[in-house]
Amino acid sequence: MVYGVAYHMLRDPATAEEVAQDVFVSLHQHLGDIASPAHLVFWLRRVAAHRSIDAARRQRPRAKDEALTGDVACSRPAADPLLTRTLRRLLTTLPARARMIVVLRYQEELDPGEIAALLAMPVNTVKSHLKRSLAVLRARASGLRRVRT
Amino acid sequence: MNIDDRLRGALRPVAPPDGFADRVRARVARPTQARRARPRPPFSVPMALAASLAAVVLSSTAWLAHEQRVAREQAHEQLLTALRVTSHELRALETRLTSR
Repeated sequence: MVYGVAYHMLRDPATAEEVAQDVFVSLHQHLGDIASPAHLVFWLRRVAAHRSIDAARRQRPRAKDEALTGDVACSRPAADPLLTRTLRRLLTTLPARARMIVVLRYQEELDPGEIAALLAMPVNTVKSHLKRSLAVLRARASGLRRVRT
Repeated sequence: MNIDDRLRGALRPVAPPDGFADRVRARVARPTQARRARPRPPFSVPMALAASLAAVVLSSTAWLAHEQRVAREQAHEQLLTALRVTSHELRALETRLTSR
């Protein structure tokens, strides 16, 4: 969950690991604040999301391109590796916060209300980010398909 | 397949690399040991700079005060010498006038 969020956000295994390690080190320092297993999951997602957004904003544009050349092993094989790679590349073109909303929606399967609570933003803002991001991804994916054919 | 399913496929869960948990454990242990091993300096760099600046200001103020005191003492000495010379001259003049 933590590494996956960071990896899909940053597309760079080394930076994703650094962020994930930071999250767990921080968890170790705040263990006393954790009230329940559900709170632990919420806390990990929230900290992982915010740290990944910060890391994505610091990331050099070139690092993203370099990272796209290699892919880490996922727990389930991709149905269409080319389409998967294209979508992941298109995701990196979204602004950091919008990208995180997409990652939380489709990797973590969270609904807009849960994403809004994690990122401390209004539900309607999450919904509009999602709508806009999907429209951008759809348009760019179809543009790429046209170029390829 | 719609964009939702495609995104779910592209954003499948990713397992952390081998040894991740060990590296986290090592990092959790590291700062505590480092904090114990490394003695904290008594002053930080800004504090040391401020202290040096204060020392320079204080020593130059003390030096100026010393210089002024020396100058005052010299002036006082000169005045006393001048008064002694003057009174000596006056006494000599008075003696000469009286003898006439």
